[in-house]
Amino acid sequence: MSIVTAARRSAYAGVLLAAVLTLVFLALPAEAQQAAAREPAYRAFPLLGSRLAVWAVAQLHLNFAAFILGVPIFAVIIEIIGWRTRDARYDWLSHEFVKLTFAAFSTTALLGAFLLFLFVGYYPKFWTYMSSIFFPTYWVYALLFFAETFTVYLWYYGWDWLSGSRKWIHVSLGVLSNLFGTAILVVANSWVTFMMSPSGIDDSGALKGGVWAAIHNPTWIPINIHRLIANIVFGGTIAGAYAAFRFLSAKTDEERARYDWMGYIGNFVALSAFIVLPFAGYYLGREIYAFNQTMGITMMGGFMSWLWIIQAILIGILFLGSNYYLWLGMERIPGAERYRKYVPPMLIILTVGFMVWATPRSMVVTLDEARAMGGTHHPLLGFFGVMSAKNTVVNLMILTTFLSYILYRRANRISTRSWVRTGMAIQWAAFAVAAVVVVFYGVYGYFVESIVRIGFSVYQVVAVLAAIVVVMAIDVPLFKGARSTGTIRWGTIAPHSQYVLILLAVTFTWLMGLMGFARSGIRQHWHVYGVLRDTSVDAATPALGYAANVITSVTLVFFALVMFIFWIGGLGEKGKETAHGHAPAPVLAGGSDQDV
Amino acid sequence: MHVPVGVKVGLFAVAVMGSYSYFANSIPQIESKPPQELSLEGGNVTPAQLVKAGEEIFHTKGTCEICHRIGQPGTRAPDLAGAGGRAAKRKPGMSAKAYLIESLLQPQAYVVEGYPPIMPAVDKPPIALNRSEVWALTAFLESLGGTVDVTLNDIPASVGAAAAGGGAAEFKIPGDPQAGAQVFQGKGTCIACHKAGKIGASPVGPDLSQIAKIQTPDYIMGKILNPAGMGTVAGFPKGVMPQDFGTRLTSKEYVDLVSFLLTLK
Amino acid sequence: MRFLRSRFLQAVAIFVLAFVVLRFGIRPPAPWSVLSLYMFIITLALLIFVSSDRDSWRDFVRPIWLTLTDPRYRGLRSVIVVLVPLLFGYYAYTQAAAKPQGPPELRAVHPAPPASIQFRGKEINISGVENPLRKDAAAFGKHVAAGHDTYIRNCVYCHGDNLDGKGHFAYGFNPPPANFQDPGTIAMLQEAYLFWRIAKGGPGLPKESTPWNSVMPAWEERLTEEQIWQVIMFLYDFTGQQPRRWEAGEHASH
Repeated sequence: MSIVTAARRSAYAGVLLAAVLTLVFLALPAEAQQAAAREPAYRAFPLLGSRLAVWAVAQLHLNFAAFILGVPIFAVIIEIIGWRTRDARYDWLSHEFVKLTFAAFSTTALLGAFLLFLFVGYYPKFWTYMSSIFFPTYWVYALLFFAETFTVYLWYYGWDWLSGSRKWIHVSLGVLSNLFGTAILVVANSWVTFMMSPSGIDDSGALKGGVWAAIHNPTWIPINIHRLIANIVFGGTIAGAYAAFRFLSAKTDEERARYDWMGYIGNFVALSAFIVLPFAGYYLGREIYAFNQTMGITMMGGFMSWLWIIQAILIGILFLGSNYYLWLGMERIPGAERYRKYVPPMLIILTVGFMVWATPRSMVVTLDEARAMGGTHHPLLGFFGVMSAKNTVVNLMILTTFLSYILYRRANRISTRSWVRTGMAIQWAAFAVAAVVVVFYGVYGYFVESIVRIGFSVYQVVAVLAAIVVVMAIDVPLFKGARSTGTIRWGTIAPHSQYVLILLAVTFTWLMGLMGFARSGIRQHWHVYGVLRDTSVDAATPALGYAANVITSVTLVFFALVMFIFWIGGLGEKGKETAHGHAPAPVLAGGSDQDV
Repeated sequence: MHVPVGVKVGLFAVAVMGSYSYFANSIPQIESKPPQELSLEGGNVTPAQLVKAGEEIFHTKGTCEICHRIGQPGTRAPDLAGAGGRAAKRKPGMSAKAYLIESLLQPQAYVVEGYPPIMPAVDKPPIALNRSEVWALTAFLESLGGTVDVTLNDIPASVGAAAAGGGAAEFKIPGDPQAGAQVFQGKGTCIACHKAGKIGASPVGPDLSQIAKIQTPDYIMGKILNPAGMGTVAGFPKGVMPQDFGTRLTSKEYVDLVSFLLTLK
Repeated sequence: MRFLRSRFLQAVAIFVLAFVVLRFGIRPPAPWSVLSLYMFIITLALLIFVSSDRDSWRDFVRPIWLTLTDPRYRGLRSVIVVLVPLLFGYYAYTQAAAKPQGPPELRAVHPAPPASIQFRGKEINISGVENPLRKDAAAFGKHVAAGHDTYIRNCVYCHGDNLDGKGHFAYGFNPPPANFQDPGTIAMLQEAYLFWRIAKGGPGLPKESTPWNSVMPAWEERLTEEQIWQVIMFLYDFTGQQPRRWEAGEHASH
């Protein structure tokens, strides 16, 4: 009991401390502006240097923030499912997810306060400038933060109190906390995107009109969308990794079954959001190009071109990994042997797609190789280096992953509908049409000018999304009340599948670090692009190797912290095993009839 | 042996991220440096900073690498590895510093055997380094096997004036460009091989249409009188240009021709 | 043909086949860096292939396990015990031995252009500028002809009379001159980008295109602004490529 209370008390204390710190610093800018003349533009952080300190803390803060904003989004959806279907398992799962969030809440707040402290202390000139633009939003942010904190506390602690007939209040609290959380994200994004693509200011950098013009800068909306989706993916993978960890250390079959199911849901959530993430990223990239061509080329073709190869490798691993997990998961479903024969062709598509996607445009070549190739541009592989090829294969990989999921869904079900053959034929046709459209526009893209080609990617995306909608629209009624070939044996999945879940979480977290470096690095020697120049000793943008080392170190620290926090969270669970009705996992593949 | 799950998972995560880091480190590393505006006059600069700035100029604005390599003999120009040490022995009685500055500002004063005298003066367009930049570049060259002892005062104050003024230094020659154009087409028979603006089209010799912009009057005058001694522009056959202009042309025709060529910008 | 059904042999065969196809099937040969990336991906996929269900995994592991433990395979085991360290040693040797070859270079194919350049003392925007000569459609033929003329007088020596980068001097240069017929070159770029490359040449390349060994001259001293635009028009007209257009909204203020 004492440990539980202590953990709770420390959570309270953490959030309160962060709030107080925030208020103190909020009061600072007015004085800071007066003191600006006396103050140095930079101070040096001892040992690490200011840049590394800000980098590490910002990335850690972002990781935690993404987790606590991403998880409640699907936690509340799962809670609603549990509420509408009166299935206690979902309620337990939702509570489990929120518990993870809750444990990470105060750490996020503390890291945020620490980050603020670093900015004010070590980048005073930059911070003064940002405050001169965004000061009104700080108050909004602080208020939203309080609102978010109180709603989440109420949501978590009121779980038992607001059950039964008052459950709707509880669900509304969950929805409300998500709205507050998203609003916080959106406000913070306005600062970050302003640094990349400043708008609403005159030549001297002062605000022209209201602060809204600075908030609503060219990359704000795309980043909002991109981050929101990525947060869900991230939350899903971390929750999956947590479940994997619990699965591996489980003592009983019952516990194993429960965490097997939780891992499956985590991966399912991550995968569903992950499928749309490339499109959001593409939109963001386009807006960056539209804002500033030089910035766009620096990002894609110039200094950072190799970063995207690493990104492609990471995403390829994510695609392979999540499909592999689904295939391994089919082993615990009686009747899934019917679909084994689909695995090799799907694997081939994913592998070839991965290879094409990872083919660099600017290759690393030795002198002899360059001579043999007739330049640094390979006449054959060069075709794979451009967007046409990469868009095509990523769309095919998404289709394949979706097919994996569809096969998983029907693994232990045999439809009893009379129109089964027609339905399935239409489904296969939808897959085929989408694939043909994607490949056609991919190949045709080489024969038209660039501006037309850019439009093609929209057709490819629409074809894939349409196929997904059509197939699901048929699949749901087709397998409604289907005959089962046996119940899923939760907990019997091969243990190495759990390492795949951990691989996905590690890879996605690392990927977030890498993308953070890209987003921040394309500003190059500017704090605020084209407005406020970075004149510190750290003005140079580091090479990829250095960035990778930093990302690895920070990600390790993140996972160490997460493990510690989850361990503390797990302490509170001991002794009250049955508090939320640990019902066994559901029996049908794909979660349930409702299809999470 | 029972390994705790936390250790196994932790090692796994370290291995995964380590391999990502390894891959990112295995490709050539490029850092994006902020652009620098170089002005070293008046400030206190350490030799190390100077050498670094000079190296940057060597690779970028100086365009030295088009002909010179360090540690690899080029076809067009000498290998500069150890240039700082060698410089002291090139010309008797001349210090390394003085020799390097001379070879940058008056490249034809001493041409290393086996190479054509094609190097342009670095303080004139198109390279047009300013005084600070010549200083830094000299320091960098000294650092290649020698000691850096060059100061700003070693660089003549006139250096870079042409670059700052936006064109070549004013150079007057008492000739008549129009008469020179007649010599170019007529008695000189230059037109048989060279093109000069609107006149001529033959590709046998280098196009002279902008010769005044890319070469010094010294070079032009010397080349007419002593073609073989001034080297041959890369890509053109050697020894084609007649050696006897000094005996065939009168001095007036020669001066007119040179003044005509100097109008070709 | 029972051994063909062994997962282990299948995996080895696919690996070897993939290597042979990628190593010798691609002409000219793919750079080593790309090849090893491909082989890494294939290895990953093969591991997934052999372990995607339990039977297959057992099938895959059995020959390895037998070789390592079964008394019958003692001979083979000894060979492996000797061979594996030797292979590692050989790998270490190839990595450590000095080779008469420069280190691999990473050269950006399309480096980022500056927002604007100084052209003979006049500032020209690279971001968002159109070819001014294209406005007058009537004079199109005239400009292309003039560009053709300029090209033959200046560019043909390196970029070739077929615009394929195979001029007389091309073979002496590394990197070789650009091949305009390749759809991966000028067709991907705006005309303003070409203007920048022609005006500033090799010396004007930014950081990511190190080392600065391009011999492309900076033509700003020798060609006029109009001549450069004309020659650009000629490049596109002759090769039948279309320049990349600016997207609406790309004429951003920054």
